[in-house]
Amino acid sequence: MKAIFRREIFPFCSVLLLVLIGTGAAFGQAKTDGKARWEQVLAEAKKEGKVAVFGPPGDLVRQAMTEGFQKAFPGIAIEYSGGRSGEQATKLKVERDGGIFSVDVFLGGTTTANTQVKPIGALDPIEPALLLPEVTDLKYWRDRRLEFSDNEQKYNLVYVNQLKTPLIFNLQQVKTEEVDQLYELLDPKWKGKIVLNDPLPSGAGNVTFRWIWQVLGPEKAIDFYKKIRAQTGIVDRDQRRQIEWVAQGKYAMLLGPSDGVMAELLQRGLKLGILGEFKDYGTMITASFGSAMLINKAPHPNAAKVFLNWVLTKEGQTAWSRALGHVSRRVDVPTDQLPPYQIPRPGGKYWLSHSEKEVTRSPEEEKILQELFGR
Amino acid sequence: MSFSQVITLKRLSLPRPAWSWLPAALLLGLLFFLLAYPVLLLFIKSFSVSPPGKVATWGIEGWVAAFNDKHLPWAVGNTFFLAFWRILITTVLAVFFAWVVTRTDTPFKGVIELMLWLGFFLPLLPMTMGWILLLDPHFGLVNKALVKLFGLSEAPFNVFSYWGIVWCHLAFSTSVRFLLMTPAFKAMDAALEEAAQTAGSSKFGVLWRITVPILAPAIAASTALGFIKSLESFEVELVLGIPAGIYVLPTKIWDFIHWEPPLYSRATALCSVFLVVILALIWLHRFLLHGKEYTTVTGRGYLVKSASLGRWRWVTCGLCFFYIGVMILLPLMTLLMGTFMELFGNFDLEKPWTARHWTGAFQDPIFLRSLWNTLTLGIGAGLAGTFFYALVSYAIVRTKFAGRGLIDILCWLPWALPGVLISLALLWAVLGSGSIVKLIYGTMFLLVLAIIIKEMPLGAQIIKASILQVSRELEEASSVSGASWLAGFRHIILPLLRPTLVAVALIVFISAVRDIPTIVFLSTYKTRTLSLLMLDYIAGANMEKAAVLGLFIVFLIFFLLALGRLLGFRRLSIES
Repeated sequence: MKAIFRREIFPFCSVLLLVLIGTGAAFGQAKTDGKARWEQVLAEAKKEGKVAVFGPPGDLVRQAMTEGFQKAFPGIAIEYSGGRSGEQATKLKVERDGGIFSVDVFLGGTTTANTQVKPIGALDPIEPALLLPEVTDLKYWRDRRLEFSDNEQKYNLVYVNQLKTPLIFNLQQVKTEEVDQLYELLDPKWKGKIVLNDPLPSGAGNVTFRWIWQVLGPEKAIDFYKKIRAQTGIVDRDQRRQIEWVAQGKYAMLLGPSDGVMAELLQRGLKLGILGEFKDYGTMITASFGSAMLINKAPHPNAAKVFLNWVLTKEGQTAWSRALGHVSRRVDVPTDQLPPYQIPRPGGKYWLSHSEKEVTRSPEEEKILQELFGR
Repeated sequence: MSFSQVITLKRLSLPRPAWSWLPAALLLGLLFFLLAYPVLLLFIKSFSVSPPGKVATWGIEGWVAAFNDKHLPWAVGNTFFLAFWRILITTVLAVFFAWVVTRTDTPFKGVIELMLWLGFFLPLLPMTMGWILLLDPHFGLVNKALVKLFGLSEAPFNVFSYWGIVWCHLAFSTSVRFLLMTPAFKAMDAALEEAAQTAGSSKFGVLWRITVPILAPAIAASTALGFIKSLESFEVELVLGIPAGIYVLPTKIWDFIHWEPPLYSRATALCSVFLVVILALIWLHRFLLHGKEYTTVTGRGYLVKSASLGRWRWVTCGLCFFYIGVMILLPLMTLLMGTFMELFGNFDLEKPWTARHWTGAFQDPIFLRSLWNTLTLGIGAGLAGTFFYALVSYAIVRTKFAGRGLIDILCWLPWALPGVLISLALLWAVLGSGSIVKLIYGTMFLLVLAIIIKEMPLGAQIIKASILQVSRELEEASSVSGASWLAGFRHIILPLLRPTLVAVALIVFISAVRDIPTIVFLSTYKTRTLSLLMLDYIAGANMEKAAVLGLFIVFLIFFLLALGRLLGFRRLSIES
């Protein structure tokens, strides 16, 4: 027995102990290195003095980002320019073609990221820029992973994941059980009483119809598109107006409402019936405007990293969530102010509407949509 | 013949210096760079068919796709239909109001004039919201009142219709036309009208047979300008037309611009329709006015006198106030009410009324800087633009420079493109024209330049029409007396043009402070204006705050006008 201990067990335990000590030391060293790296970046960022951010329009998100960041890092000014992602991407491209590099971080939708910004080679990989443990530790993120929308999985970090509301309705004209299955919308009694959020441009209507294509398959989806088009009272692109029409009873229901605008109007007192998901086909996950891009050749590269890390912390994500009513992918961001129908269920299986391959329509789908909804 | 007479004759017959064509040539070059170059750049890039990030390839696919659209003929037809009726109605109204205010003894003319100015100051999109609140077929307040009062089975008015679109444009368009025509009406010699009345013509006969023909350049210029503007109009059409299935050409252009990724080549291709219309209008304008004299201001002075309408003056007064009450004050009051609603038009909320949109707008951290930028833009564009337009117009009308016809055509170019495409074209032009030109990017100077370019057709054509009214003999007399050209221009031409110059400066100022599309690509964080702040609110679905800013801009303009008068700029009106 003593011989076995001396010959096998003792050496094994010794090696194991050495490995554990070594790992612990390395880990401690890494943590110290990470902290030192962050301090260095922060010091450089303060010398740079400011960060230039492109982000979604709206005074609420603008104020949330600027006030929140300024409070966290008073030595770094933030120049936040809100606007439509498409216009901002155009400006970014023309500026870069002209040799002007004025933007550090771009917060916006995944469609713009993948169809306009990434193709012009304007992006740096994001993960190397993530420095704060609060951001890099995967336990703080849903499914214990960071989510990227781009095929390369490195340029467009998604930090919003919420369930897309497929349908809203007027409470006086419609009962939930009358419309809680997808094909119930084709009931003749709803003819002329439906407003559709136009599926052609990018946005909530587009995503809803892409989801229908996914869940039904091409053949059934084409049939459904034709029938719902025939049922429709009007196809519209004004995101606020179409929701108000339903609240006022001008139309009975709206397919594909904008979640952000709807949240804003509900907060201001509008009364609406909300169908969080269809009983038969469920719903999808959307990222809305909630994705981040790190612009290369940035004028303030260190300040860019500081801002990016901040916006992905609990503090930054809470500010974002409160301003836009979005559900963050961070699991420690409070959701008590958010409606339950927007929050993905743990373990739920949902189609991700915002990945690069999903935002692109097939030629067949494009053709039928142009035929039915072109104007 | 005396010695001085010989000297005078010699001076008149001296050959012009060889370099006398140089200033006009430089002006042509400058206009080409500012106007033609960005437009050419835009049209050239419309043939680039490669997706973003790929090597540039060229083709006509964008143009083919744009014109292959099966809905395009309907959109073009709607565009011309709406523009035609709008221009017809506003021409009649504007001529009537200009005549009433400048040529008659209608009581309260000053108030009428001020109220008509107000129609121009008011923001178009928020005012349209006001009309929706009044004339929506389901919830409009006027419709509900009429249905209740008369027991109607359905609402009598529907703002979501062709006539709804024309209706919502009337106040603004009529006011613009009125502002543009009034200086010319004021400068007309009353002796011509007196002669007609002495010969037996009625007052309205004088208006139709004397006043209108004599003022044809001003009326024609403002009609042409108004027609182009009507063709390009899209905000009201977007809000009122889409729900009614009425699509117009600018709506399609707007769709292409807001696609993801944007389809600028198709948008530019469709703008070629406006270019063709502009060239046709230029030809028509010249054809109608060619070979005729429109001089009303000569060396022997002119009589400014109001014609007496007798009892009819109360009818004209009543008609004017009825128009102002219905078309301007009613939607304005509705809009004002709407800014105090939690959600515009939603009376059924638990708490429908609030003042937070007002407090929120003024407490926005970027409000003050945006206000400063707005004033800089407005005053800069108004003053510099007007001076530049006066030079350009003078070169077209008074010089013998061979390229003056080309200058005239170039001046129309900016209105071949919607504002957002001008913004993009200028961005390309500035960032692609070398490091010195690039320095102006990110500055207020570039925004001022963009507005001056955008309003060039209006400024140049209206001042041109006014210069046509001034007889050459006044300058010739100045020259014969020994004054230089500059002295003659400063002391004779400018004072006579002052009412027109003030009107143009005012219009350019207001256009500058309200413009969004022309500056959207050119502005940066530091040069953001109140109008772009409005856009931010609209994009965030906060129309109420946007309307607050729109009304604030109206108050701002009134305040500046009042301040101007207080500081002694007594002529800060279109009164001569």
